[in-house]
Amino acid sequence: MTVDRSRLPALGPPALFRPPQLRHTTLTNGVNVWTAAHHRAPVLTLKLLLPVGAADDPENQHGLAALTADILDEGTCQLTDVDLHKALTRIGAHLGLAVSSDATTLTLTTLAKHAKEAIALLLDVVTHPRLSSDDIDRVRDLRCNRILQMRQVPSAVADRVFIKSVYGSHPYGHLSIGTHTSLSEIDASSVTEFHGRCYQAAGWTLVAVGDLSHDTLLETVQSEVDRVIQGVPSPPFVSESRRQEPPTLRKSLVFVPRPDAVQSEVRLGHPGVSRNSEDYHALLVLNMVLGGQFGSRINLNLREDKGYTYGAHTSFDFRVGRGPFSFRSSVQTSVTAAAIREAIQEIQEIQTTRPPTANELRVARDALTRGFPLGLETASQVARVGTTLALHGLPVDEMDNFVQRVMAVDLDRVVAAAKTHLHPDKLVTVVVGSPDEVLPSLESLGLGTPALVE
Amino acid sequence: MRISYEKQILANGLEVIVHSDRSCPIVAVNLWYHVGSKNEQLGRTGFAHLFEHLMFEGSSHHDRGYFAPLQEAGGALNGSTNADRTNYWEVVPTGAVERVLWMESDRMGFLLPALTPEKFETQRKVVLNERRQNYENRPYGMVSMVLMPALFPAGHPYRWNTIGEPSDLMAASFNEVRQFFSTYYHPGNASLVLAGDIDVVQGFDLVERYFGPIPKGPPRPTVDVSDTPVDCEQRLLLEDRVDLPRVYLSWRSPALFGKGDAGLDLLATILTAGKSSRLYQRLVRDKKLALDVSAGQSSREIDGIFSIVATAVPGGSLVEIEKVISDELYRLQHDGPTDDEVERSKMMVEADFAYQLQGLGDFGGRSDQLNAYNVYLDDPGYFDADLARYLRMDSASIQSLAQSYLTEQRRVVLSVIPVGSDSAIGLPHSTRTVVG
Repeated sequence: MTVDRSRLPALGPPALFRPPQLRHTTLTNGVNVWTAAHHRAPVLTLKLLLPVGAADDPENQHGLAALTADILDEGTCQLTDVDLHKALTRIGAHLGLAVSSDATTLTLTTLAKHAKEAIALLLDVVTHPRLSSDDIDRVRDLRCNRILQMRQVPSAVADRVFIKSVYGSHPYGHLSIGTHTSLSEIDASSVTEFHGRCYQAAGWTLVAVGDLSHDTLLETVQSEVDRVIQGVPSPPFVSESRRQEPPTLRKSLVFVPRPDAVQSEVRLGHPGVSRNSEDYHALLVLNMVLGGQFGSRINLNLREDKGYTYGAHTSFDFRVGRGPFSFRSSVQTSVTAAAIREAIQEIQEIQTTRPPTANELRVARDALTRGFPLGLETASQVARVGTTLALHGLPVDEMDNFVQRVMAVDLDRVVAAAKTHLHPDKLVTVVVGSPDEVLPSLESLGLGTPALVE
Repeated sequence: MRISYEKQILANGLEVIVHSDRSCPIVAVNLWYHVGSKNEQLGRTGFAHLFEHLMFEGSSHHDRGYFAPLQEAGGALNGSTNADRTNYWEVVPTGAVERVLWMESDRMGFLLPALTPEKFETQRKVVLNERRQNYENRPYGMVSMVLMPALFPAGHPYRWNTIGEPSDLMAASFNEVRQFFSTYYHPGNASLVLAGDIDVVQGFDLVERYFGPIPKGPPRPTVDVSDTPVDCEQRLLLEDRVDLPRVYLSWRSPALFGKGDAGLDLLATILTAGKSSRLYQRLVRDKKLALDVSAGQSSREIDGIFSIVATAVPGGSLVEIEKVISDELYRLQHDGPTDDEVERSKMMVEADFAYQLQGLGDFGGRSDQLNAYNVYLDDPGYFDADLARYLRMDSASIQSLAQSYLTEQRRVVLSVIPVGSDSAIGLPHSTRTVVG
C-alpha cells in the first residue's frame, strides 16, 4: 500500500485509558496514605507531602520553611548524616527535598525490593531529624551563598523580583529560598521551633506508587508509620493565610539593570486563580491557546515568526491560594520593547478582538485529553498526581473525570475565562536587562516610569 | 531489567527496532541520525544543530510547523544535537502513530523543497538567541568554549561546541543546507525505534510502508581525527560575570563504552554523588571551602572528558580547594576506594538504570537507549552487558584508572573569577583567556 501524501493520516479514536487507581486510607494517627500498584519497572516512588510551605515563613524570616526541610537529611537521632546517606546509597535511593509556597515534599525513589527500609528512612528523616545548631548554621550559610550566586542568574533575578512586585507582602510574595537578609534573621532555635510547630504528622500524605501490590504497599507503609509515629497525635498544622486576597495591582514596570546583557529576561503577569477555581479546566484550555505549548500564539509569534527568542511561554500556577498568571521569555536585547508589546497585545487580544477560535479550542482540548496518558506513564508521575490531589483536597478519582471535564469546556466558557482571569490593564512587567540599550525603548510601551530595582 | 525488542534493516539501510510494552496506551518514536557537531567543517561550527531546527519547519507535503499536528494528537516531541548524533522523538497516544511516521518520513524524504531562505534566517536568529540564553547570558556559561579547545588539539572535532561560533553561524548560507541534508539525512544513516503500545509485526509493516520508498544515500564520510594530546598541565583563567569563583579540573578520558569508561563513572560517583561522597564531605561539609562540588565522566563516541568542578564560598580559596581535590585523588591513586564505596556506587548505578528505563520516550528513556546501543555498538540489547561492565569493577580497577588518567600532567585547570577581580583569586600561573 503506497502512502497518501496528500493529507496527514487521521487520528485514531482516543484510547480508552483508565488512569492508575490510587487508594486513600487514613491511619489512626492522622497520616493519609495513598497507594497505587505500578508494574512498569522494579521501582518504588515515595512522596511525603507536608502542608507547610514558604507561605508559612514568618514575615521577617523568609526562607525558614525551605531551610528546615534542607536540614532534614543532615542526620537523625539514630543516624549521623554520613550514615544516613550511606544507608540511602546502599539501597540505591535518591532523596529529594522540595519546598514550594504551599507545601514541603520529600521524594524518595528506590528499588521496590527495598520498600520497607526506604519508608523507614523517609519517616525517620522527617520525624526525628537531628537539628544540631552547627548543621543549621552551616546549611543556612550554604543557602545564603546560593542566593549570592543566583544574583548573576538573570532568570532567577526576574523570578524573585516578579513575585515580589505582584504579591508584595502577601505570603506568596517571596521565593522559598528567602533573601540574604531574611536568612540572617534565622538561627537554630527558629528552625527547631518551626519544625516542632509545623511538622505535625496528622495531615501528612504519604503516596507510595511502585512495583508492589496495593495491599503490600499499604501494609508496609502502615506498619512503618505505626512504628515511627507513636503517641497521641497533635492536631494537624493548618494555615489559611495563603488564601487571603493578593493586593490589587496597577499596570507597572520594574527594571533590574544588568549592564551589557545580550538578552533581557522578561516577566509579565498578575495574580491568577486557585486550583479549586471552577474555571480550572477552562484556564488549562485557554493557556494551551495563549502560551502553554510550542504551537501556542505567543511562541509562534515571538519565536517562529520573529525570531526574537529561543522560547516564550505563559502559565497559570494553580496553588492553594491565588497563584500567579505569568508570561516568561528571554529575548534579544535589541527587540525587548517590541517583544513586550507583542506579548501584551496577545494577552489583550485573546480576551477582546481575537478570542480563541473553534479550531483552536478543538486543538487545545485534544492536546490535553488525548495526551492525558502521557502524564501517567511512570510511577513517579502517578505519585506526583497523588500529592497534587492531596494538597488541594481533591478526591482520589479526580483524574477519572479529567477528560470529560476538559471536553466540557466550550467556546463560551473559554472566552469567559479569558475575560475574567486575564487582566492586561493590571500587568506587572519585569525586565532584567541592559539599561543603556533597553530602558529608553521601554518608554514607548506606556507602562509608566520604570521602578529601578537591584 | 529485560527490554525485549526485535530489529530489522530495510533495503534502504534504515535500521528499525521495535519494543512492545502495552502497559500504557502510548507509543514512543525515536529517530537518530548519526551526525553531530563532530561531522562539521571548521568555519561552519554549529551547523548540525542549526539544521536540526530546520527539521521542525515543515516538509513538502506538510509545509507548516511540525508541532501543531502532533500537539493536537496529544503528543510530546523534541529533538537535540550533540557532538555525535542528532535525535528526534515523539511520544504519542497509540492512535497517532501513523501520523508520526508519516511526518518523520516526510521530513526524511522530502525536506528540501519546502525549505526557504526565510525559514533559514528565522531559525538562525532563534539559534543565536538560544546561544545567548544558555551560554552568553548565563554564569559560567562560556566555560566549555575555553575547556574544549584546551583538551582537544587542532584537528580534533571535539574542539568546538555543538552550539557553534556566532561568526560561523552567520557565515553559514542557505545553499549549504542541501549538501548537509543529502550527506547525512537519509535512511542509511539513521536508526528508528518504536516503543510501547504497538505490535512488533505491525510496527515493522508501518515503518516499511512509510520509510521503505525513501532512497538510500551515500556512505557517511569518515571523520578525520588528528590527535596529539597535550602532554603537560594547562592552567587557564577566565573572567566571567559571577560572584563566586569556581575551579574546573578536566582530563581526556575513555570514550563511551570504552575500556575504563564505567570505572571512571563509578569514581565520579564516589567523589561527589550525594552527601556521603568524599569531596562533598571534605570540601563542603567539613572544611566549608566550597558551595558545591560535582564530578562526571562525560563520555562520547570517540573520546571522553572527566571533570571535577567546585564553586568557592565567599572568601574560599581556589588554591585550597584544588589542594583538597588533588589530595583526595592522590589517596585514591595510592589506596583505591574502599570496598563499601565501590559497592554503594554500583548499587546507585544499578538503581539509576531502573529509574531511567521506566519511561518509553523522551531523552534517555527506553527508546532513546535502544538507539544509543544500536548506533554506537550495533547491539540494541546491550542493557545487561552495559550494567555488567559496572558490576565487574572493583577497588583495584578503579584505583588503576585514577592512576592512569587523572594525573597532574594530563589535566586542564581552569579558574573562573569575577570580572575585574584580582587574578590572584584564581590559581597561580594561570594564563588569562578570552572568549567571544
